[in-house]
This record gives sequence, structure tokens and C-alpha cells, in this order.
Amino acid sequence: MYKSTIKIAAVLIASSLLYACGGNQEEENIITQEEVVTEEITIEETNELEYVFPSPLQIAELFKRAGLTYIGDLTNSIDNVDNYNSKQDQKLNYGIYSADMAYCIMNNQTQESINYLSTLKKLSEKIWMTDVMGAMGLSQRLEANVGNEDSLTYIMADLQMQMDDYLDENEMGAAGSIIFAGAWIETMYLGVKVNENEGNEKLINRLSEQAIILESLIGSIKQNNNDNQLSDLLTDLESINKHFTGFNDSEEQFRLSAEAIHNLNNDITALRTKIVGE
Amino acid sequence: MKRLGLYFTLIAILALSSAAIEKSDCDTRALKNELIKELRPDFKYDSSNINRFILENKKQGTEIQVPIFSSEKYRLLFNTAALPSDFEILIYDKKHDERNRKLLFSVKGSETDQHVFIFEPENAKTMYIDYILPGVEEEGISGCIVFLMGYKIS
Repeated sequence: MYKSTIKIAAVLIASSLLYACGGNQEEENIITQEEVVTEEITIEETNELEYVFPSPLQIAELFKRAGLTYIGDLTNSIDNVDNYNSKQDQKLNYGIYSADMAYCIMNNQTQESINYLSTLKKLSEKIWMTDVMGAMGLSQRLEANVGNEDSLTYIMADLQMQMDDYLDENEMGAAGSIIFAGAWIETMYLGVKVNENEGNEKLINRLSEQAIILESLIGSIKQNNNDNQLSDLLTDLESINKHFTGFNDSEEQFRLSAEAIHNLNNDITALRTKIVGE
Repeated sequence: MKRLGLYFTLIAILALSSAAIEKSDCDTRALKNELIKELRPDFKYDSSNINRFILENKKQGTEIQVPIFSSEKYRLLFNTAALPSDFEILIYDKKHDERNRKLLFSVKGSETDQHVFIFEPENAKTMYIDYILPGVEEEGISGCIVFLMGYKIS
């Protein structure tokens, strides 16, 4: 396409033609796994690894379906928001409050959700994410959909997309990893605490499969720890990861033992307490 | 008359430049919105990733690690409309440096005229998405691939 003696013109013309052709392409290509032929391809040119994490909403929704009930005083108090002065604390607690908001939304606690939204707005301004929630009219949308769990989860998904856009456009991918770490720790905290109260087998299964997320989270935090500011967090996450030993070797569905759940509860609670400052 | 011809040439170049910039510019929100339509009504937005490339005269690649829960349904979408070159998208079950990794999905830009691609994995755990771009003669042109994922909890 780009072979031409009049190189600049050729590129411009080719690009224009490409653009023009692209406008009419509406067909999609849906392929399921069964239709793909298994083959081995060696790729030597791949030189970096990026991480994509699930939304806190998805994890909260999975936990809710497994029986995560609502216990009001488990979440981080909105009164703590002014205590977070370092950028790292602000990002981690942005994640913590995001998970709390998702937990409230999943349990139809609309007023609590709105309170967390206001807290997130306040924190987002501190970490320069000033426009993330400004234009979305989220409070009004939450109020208009009180009691409609399905609509509320779609609103939360919109918020996640808005945040992903913002982080991407402002090249804040590292911040995204720290925010996700906070959200993941809080969701795990809610899971282990509800399980401690109620002993829920399905919830233990859901907690067990979080090993897959933790591995990626540790990889991402390592990648963003150039100045060693995340070393403490990394050490704590690696310590938590030890409870999931055997996850990768397990042919069948991996499940945490009673002892591992107990120890996970202790370590997650200690880390979460360190972050929220209670 | 000569000057008129020069103006005409300049206007033509400017018009073509605008088209090229528009092509290489990565309007991520517009590209994402095109993918969002493909999630509805069954899947909810979960996460996304933008990979920006500057084309080089040598082959280049990036790998993205995507952890998912094997018991749930996911829809992975790719938009290559802002990528002014050939490409390959490959999805594996293991990292690029691990042996015996299984190819779950692949698409080559040179073999299709589409720019939206959809893949729904089944019983997968962590997936590894590889973008491979061949080397080009004209270096320095930018572009991007937008990846977006939705989930459906059964």
C-alpha cells in the first residue's frame, strides 16, 4: 500500500481510500471457540505485557449471586475521605469506595450509593480525575432508578466505562491498577466478612476463583513499581496470594480450604485496615 | 494561473492530509461506542483497553493479559478501524513465552474487509491477546486497536 515513489502523496491517498472504504463496513465477525482450529504459533516480536482487569461491579455481581448479603457497617465510612492525603492512599481508597458503591447498588441501598458517589467525586478531584463523573448526572440517574437493580448496575457500568476512558485519555494506566487493587481488596473484604458471619459454600467458591485476578493484579503492580512506592502493597498482595497455592496446578475447580479461608480473612482484613486507616 | 494551480494543489494536499489524520487519529470514544452496540442487550460493559501504535519498518507486537472466570459468559470485541496497516489479532490460553499454548481465536487484517471482530470464549480462564503488526515502509504513521469486553452472569 505504501510503496510509491511519491511517498507522502501515496500515504495520504491510501489513507483516504482506506478511510472511505471503512465507512460502509457494518458486518461483524462472530466466532466461537469451537470454530477455531487449534494451532501453535510462535510470536517472538511480542515485547510487553499489558493487563486488563474486570470491573469491581462484575466481581460484586458474582458475589451477590453467590449469596453476598448486605451488612451496612462493613463498608468504609464516607467520613474517612478527608484522611487520605497521599496520592497512593487517595487512589487505593477511590477503589475501596467504588467497591462499596457497587456493593450498595447490588443491594438496592440507593441513598448509600449516592453518598458514596459524592465521596468518589470528592476523591476524584484530589487525584485530578475532575471530569470523570461531572457530566453523567449520576446522582439523578441513581435516584430515578431506585429499586431497579438491573438499571442501577447498568449505571455503574457506565461509570466504569467513563473512568476507563478518562484513565486512557490521560495516560493514567498505572493509577488504574492501584484503583483496581483498592476495589479488589474491598470486595474480597466484604466477601470474607459475610462468609465469616454466614458460612456460604457458593461464596467460598467465588472467593477461591479470585486467584486468577490476584495473579494479574500482582503482575500489574510490579510493572508500575518503578519508584518502589508500591512495594509494601506488593508484599501484602504476594502474602495473600500464598493462600491460593495450588490454584494453577488444580485440574478440577480450585477451592480454598477452611484454614486458607480463615488466613485469607485475617490477611485481607489487615491489609484493608491499613488502607482505610481504621 | 500558476498561482491558482498552486493553491489548488495545496488545498488538495490539505484535504488529503485531513483524511489521513482522521484515519490515524484514534477517536477512542467513537470506536468504543461502535463496540458497545455489539454488547447489547445481553452483555454489560466490563473493561476496555486501547493500544496505540506508531508503525515501524519492523514487525511489532503487544500482549494483553485478560483474566476471566470460566463459569461466566464473556464477549470480547475489537475495533481496528483506526489502524492504517495490516494486523493480526491472536488469542491464546497461555503467555507468549510458554510452551504448548492453544490458539483460541485469530484474525488477519489482510484476509478480511471488516473492522469489528467478536469472540466469545468458552470455559476459558486467563486469556492472552496478541496484536502483531508487520513492518511497513512508511514509518511514523499512528493508529490504534480498541479492545472492549462485556460480561453476562448466568
